[in-house]
Amino acid sequence: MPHLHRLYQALLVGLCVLACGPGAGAQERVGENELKAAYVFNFIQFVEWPQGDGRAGADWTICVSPFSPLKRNLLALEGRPARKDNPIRIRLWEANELNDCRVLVLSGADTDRALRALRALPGRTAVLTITDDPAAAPPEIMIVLHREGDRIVFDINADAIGKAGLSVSSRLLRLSRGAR
Amino acid sequence: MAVCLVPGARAEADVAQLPLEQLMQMEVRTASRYLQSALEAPAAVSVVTAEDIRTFGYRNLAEILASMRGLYVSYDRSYHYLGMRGFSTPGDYNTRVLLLVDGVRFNDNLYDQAPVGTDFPIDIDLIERVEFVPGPSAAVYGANAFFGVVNIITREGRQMKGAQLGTELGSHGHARLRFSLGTVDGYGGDWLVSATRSTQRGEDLYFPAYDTPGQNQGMAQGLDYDRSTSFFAKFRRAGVTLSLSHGERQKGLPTAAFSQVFNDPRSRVIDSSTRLAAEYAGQWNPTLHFTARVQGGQYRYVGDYVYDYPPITANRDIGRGRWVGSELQWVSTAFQRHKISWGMDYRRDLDITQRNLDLAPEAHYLDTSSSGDVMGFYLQDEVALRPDLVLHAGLRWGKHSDSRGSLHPRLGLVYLVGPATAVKLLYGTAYRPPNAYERDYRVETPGGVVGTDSLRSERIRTTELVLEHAPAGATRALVTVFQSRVSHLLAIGDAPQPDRLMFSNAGNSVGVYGVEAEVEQRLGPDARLRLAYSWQRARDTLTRQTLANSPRHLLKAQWSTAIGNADAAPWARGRLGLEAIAIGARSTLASRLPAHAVANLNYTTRLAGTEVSFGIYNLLDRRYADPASFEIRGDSIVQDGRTLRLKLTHAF
Repeated sequence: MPHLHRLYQALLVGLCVLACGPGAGAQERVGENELKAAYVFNFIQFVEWPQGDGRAGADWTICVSPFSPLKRNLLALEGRPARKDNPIRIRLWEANELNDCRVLVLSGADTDRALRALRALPGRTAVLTITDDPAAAPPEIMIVLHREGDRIVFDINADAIGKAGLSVSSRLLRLSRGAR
Repeated sequence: MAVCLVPGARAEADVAQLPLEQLMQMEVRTASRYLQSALEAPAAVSVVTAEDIRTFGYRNLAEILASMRGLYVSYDRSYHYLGMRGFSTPGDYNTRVLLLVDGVRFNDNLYDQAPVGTDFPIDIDLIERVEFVPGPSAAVYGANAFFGVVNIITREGRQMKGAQLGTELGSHGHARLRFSLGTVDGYGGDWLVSATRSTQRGEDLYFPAYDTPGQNQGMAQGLDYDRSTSFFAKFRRAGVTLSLSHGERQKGLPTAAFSQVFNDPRSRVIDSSTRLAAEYAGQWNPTLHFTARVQGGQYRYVGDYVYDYPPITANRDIGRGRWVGSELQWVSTAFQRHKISWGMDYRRDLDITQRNLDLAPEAHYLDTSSSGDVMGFYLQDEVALRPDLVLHAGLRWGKHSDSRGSLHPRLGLVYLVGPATAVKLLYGTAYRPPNAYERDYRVETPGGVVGTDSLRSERIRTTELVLEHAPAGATRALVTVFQSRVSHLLAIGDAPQPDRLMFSNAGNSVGVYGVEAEVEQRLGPDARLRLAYSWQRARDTLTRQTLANSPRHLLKAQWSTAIGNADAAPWARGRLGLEAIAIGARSTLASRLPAHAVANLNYTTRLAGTEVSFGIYNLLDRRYADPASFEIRGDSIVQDGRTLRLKLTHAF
């Protein structure tokens, strides 16, 4: 299954970006949040954003909840090339600046707040919404990361992704716990 | 780089080999009164886990605390005293550290004493982890959170999985028996019940200050005994926790403290306490978390002291405190970028009684009783200024019924240099009002405490800069630089009258500054090393004199490794823990003690379903002493030489 292979390669690259910073020793192991942040990086590779969606600048902005446990690990992606060499920018999400965000990583009370703000936007938003907080995940959220025992798995809501004008690769869909 | 990803049929990664604290990203609760990651908490937190306690064979809370960065423990054979950041004021009964058990205040309401030695009434096998937050935290916790806060998190019944019997035998006639039962009932309720009986005969001890023919040549015979009984029960279900702890300890006094007759078998102290707590915690709505606690307790102290007035007379000192209290706390994320917590703490001191009397012929010297209130309101905000910058601001107003209310702020700025590195700039303040003992205890007998002008609260403010690095591996490195100023320090000292003591705020201000560094590193798959070094100076700002019992250097090293492979005999497969603690030279009240180092070795293995732990403490049989307070003649107390302990834990 070559596509699986590619995903693993991509995941490994993502993990390298996150874990091979200064101080990472030969025996370095990966923490849950670090792994989830690596998934976020990889989702970007497997989701297509509409061409010419009018986003200002070439930066690939990931907007994150201020109290998301992934915030710290996502910071490691700052400045890294996302796709077509567009650098990733990490910033805190703001209800009135959602248009800049290509990806929203949400947790807790922010999840509802951000989805409400997204619904208020006219037209297709083309914002990929991700949460690592299944307890506070409404059905419209596109990707939910779970810890299942000792593993990290994810659910994908393909309908929500389609409604937002994004398209997700069938490879990623097949890897999810089951398209809803 | 070896990333432990195991390719499988789905996009999953095997994180099975991660240690628990890493999976939890080392979360701590004590710094802000809610759970947060240690790296992002506005403090340089230290944590000792149940696994550390097992690996290094710690025998009591004092030994756990003594293993932590910047802490040192002194023992005068009646109580253990916790020193931190160069402060271990002789005569201070741990009033300047706040001890919490599962978040509930554990200092009593009479002496404000944190029981950190064998008088701590919870068996240490019931401890899941111990968190220590250095620095003043009055903005969060109120009085007594002066030099730091110790929070003990107890285990859950489900971790015990059935019945457990623990037995211990050790040097100096030590024996301990524990029976615990942990289970989860059909309704999901988690139960933990445990009882412990411990005894130590103790050695005959030699005190040179009493080496005369009339005083048994300075030998205190059979007076270092330490006997205790404790009981602990906890129930938890759906956000509700109920707990009960009871403990009683009887300690012989070999030191003839407070000008007693030397080597009298009646000389002893008994400390007993009972504490009840109920907690409700719930997520009221997606943005609001609420915690309520109700607690009540009683502490009782009985000290028997023998004096030669003449004639030789037994004198009894009795102290009793009863209290009830409540805490309410809300944590809200209703405002974007803010995590706001606020709450109120209230304690009613129902009755604080202090008595002093001669038993026969009966004579009363002191019978005082009081009651009062302690109240506090606080507000904290954690503001995410940028993805990599968080500001913590806190303010608390507190009032004790016999002193004026006061405001205490705290500020913390946490800057994430990267996902695993944080720089923290911290500012905190704290106060400690005189406790009932300092305020009301006045006895006109030899070694007694005489009156003084009114006492006032002592205060501290601290500024600290922390650099912390915690990558996902089991590595953690931390450097902190701190500076504190303590004013109106309240201390006991010699009174103008002979053979009398008195409390006063008379001391000058004290300036403290220092550096602490800590590295924890996994060495290969099974070995770990932790090194912690502290350098500090605590000096009187006017005389420039270093305080008593204030070592300039503290060095701790803990190394543990798994030994034996699968082919080895069962007894040869286990875990070895080696610990070394070095304390620099310290002044006592009259002289100076040289630096010393003590090593402890512990081996843990499993034989036929029984966990066996064998420890050798003070491995090299070093002779060393701790500084003593004013009430003890001869200004230092020699500590134990090499001792052994064998511990068996069997789960049914």
